[in-house]
Amino acid sequence: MPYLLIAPTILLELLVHFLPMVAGVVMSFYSLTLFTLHHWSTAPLAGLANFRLAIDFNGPLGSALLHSFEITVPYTILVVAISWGIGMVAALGLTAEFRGRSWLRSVLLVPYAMPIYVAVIVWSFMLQRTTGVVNTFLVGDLHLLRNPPFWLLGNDAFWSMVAAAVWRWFPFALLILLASLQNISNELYEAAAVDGAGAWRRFRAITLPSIRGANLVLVLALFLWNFNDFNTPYMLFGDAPPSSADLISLHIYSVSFESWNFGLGSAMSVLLMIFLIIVSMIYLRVLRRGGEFNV
Amino acid sequence: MASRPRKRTLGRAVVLAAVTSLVAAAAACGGPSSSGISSSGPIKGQTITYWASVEGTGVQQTTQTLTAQFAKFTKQTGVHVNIQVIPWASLLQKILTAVTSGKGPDVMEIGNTWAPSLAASGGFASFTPSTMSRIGGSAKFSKAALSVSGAPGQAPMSVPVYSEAYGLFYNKADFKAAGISGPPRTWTQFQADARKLTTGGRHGVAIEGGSTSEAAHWAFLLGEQNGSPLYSGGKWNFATTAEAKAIAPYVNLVASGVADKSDAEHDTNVGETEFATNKAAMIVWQNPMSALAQLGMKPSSYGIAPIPEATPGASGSRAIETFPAGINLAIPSASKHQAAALALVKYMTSTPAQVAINKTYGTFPPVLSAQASPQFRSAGQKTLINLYNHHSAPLPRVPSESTMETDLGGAITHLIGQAATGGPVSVPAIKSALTSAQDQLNAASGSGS
Repeated sequence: MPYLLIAPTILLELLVHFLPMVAGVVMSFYSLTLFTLHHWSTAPLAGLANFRLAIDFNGPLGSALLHSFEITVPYTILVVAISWGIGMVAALGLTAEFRGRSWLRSVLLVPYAMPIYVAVIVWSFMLQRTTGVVNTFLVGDLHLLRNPPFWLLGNDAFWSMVAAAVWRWFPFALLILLASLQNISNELYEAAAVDGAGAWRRFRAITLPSIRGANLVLVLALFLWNFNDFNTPYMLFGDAPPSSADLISLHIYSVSFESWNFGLGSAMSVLLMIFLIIVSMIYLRVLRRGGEFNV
Repeated sequence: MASRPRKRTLGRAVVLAAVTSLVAAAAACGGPSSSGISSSGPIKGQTITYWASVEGTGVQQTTQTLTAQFAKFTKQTGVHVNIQVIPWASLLQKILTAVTSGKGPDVMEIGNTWAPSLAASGGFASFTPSTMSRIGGSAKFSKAALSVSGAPGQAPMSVPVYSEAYGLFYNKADFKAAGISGPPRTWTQFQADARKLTTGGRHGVAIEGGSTSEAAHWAFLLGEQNGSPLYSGGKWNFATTAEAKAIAPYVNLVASGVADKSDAEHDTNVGETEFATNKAAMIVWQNPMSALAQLGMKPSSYGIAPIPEATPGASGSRAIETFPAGINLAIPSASKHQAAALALVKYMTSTPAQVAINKTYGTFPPVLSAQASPQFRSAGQKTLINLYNHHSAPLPRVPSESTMETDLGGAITHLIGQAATGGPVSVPAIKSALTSAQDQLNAASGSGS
């Protein structure tokens, strides 16, 4: 009977999530290219050839994939760390009672509520060299720089991408952390204060342990979403991002849709999925050892 | 202990999902194969779907222009047409999805450089001689236009509907003020003129430095003119010093100061705006007349000339000035209304529709009878049509052409970015980037074709 009750959910889950994943894995073992696209069900079996191409780091495709991976790792770490940091500071600030708090809370959540395409397109306009508001402000108004820099080319493109992603994700961190902080009893802080604990000590000894569960899920979710981020680089740079902004999802998209090699693109996606599953499992296992967190 | 049954259940679910996906796969395949177009039964009362690319000045003009034409078509044939205008950025993806799923429009507009790639996919009906005769015969089209309608040696998978050619567009007043008597005939003159024209906040030339397709087109034209074609001997062959030398002037236009450094990040039609607002005195462009008019630039204020040559008075492939650019119409083999779709293709390639639509879009007709219309006899249009018909060569007609545009074009846009941020890029550095792009292209496409 319990299985009957959850059957619709399981069926939908299979259809929406599981089936496409299985189809992707199956595709990765086939030579699904331009030539076999129309009659894709009869595409020839490629065995592990697509995987060998993807992990041949001395070959042109494997080395490009590795480069993309090497860009994606620091991007993810930076976005997660900075988003969490800003979200935490903002959440702590919004925990206190002050006039205009609910208004400020709503304003801070706007970037997350805004459709991501709109948000990133606005960033791309802001970062244009000649007409963008960033250079107008830095060069024209503040005279901090003599020549307007390129924010969408070269190595600066990486930092532009990080800035846009942090702007997008810190409100989500704020939302989760704020909800968790509101569950902490004030009495704990008052008792600690009586015992002479300072603000930093109270933060480490009371705040962080109290929100540990929500915090760890938040970090995992931010990590997975940002490692897979496609929208930010695609909307900022189009289908040919600068080398410094070649995130792995966009890279796989290019291999699939621009080279019309869906078997190879699927193999790369499977490798990415395996990597993320391994990282997530290690993360959860390490946390379980902490003893206070159950997933 | 408790985990064992759960694992078994999961395993069964995997098998179930896999089996279900394979069953779905088997059910989805089996559409009609690539062949000529079927012709049976009355078409009156049918409703077909048409995917249009964004042409002219944008979505609104495209929709208005085609809606007006389709109303006439419906009056003539009784066939109703649903139009969907698809942005360029997603058009190819949508086409691929339609090819794979067998669900899509009955007629679609495609970039003609995609024709060899799409022909290889096998998802489109062929315009066999008998099919072609039903729309007026292949002789009604310009030979140059038909040369980019499918795979070489096979029946076309599409027919041309709007044509464009590269030309040099120059501001007459700027040239006069700089004491330049006429458009440059060589790239050396072009550079010298661009330097003279770069003054008072205006640049000599504007480029779309961030556009991969634009970069690939420049590489093709400069390669041909310098005797270094991108594709030769049955394989991609652009990782050469000759090709690097050929495209170096284009890569370094922003570094030399004759083009605005900001052009390195432009991948839309900013160059037309720069030209129309006199921030640049020249552009090398495909049929921008309609956009320039919308931007308020009078046709009398600019001249249209062939793009410069690498060698003065060159002949053969070294005298190539453009490739036959434009849009074709294709009918997916999965269409259930092929006869009605073909009737629409016939209508769209009829002389009155060709004149009306191409005039509005600022393109010119690939249909010869429409090309002869007085609407396309201005000096500028005559120049472009002449280049298209007599001084053009198609981009390599191989399935990996579209991948080349991404890989080679991407490499060149990155080089232009380097030139804008770090100064001139050397020929060895360009060759190195071209080598990397060619290796990726060959590896991704599985061969040199």
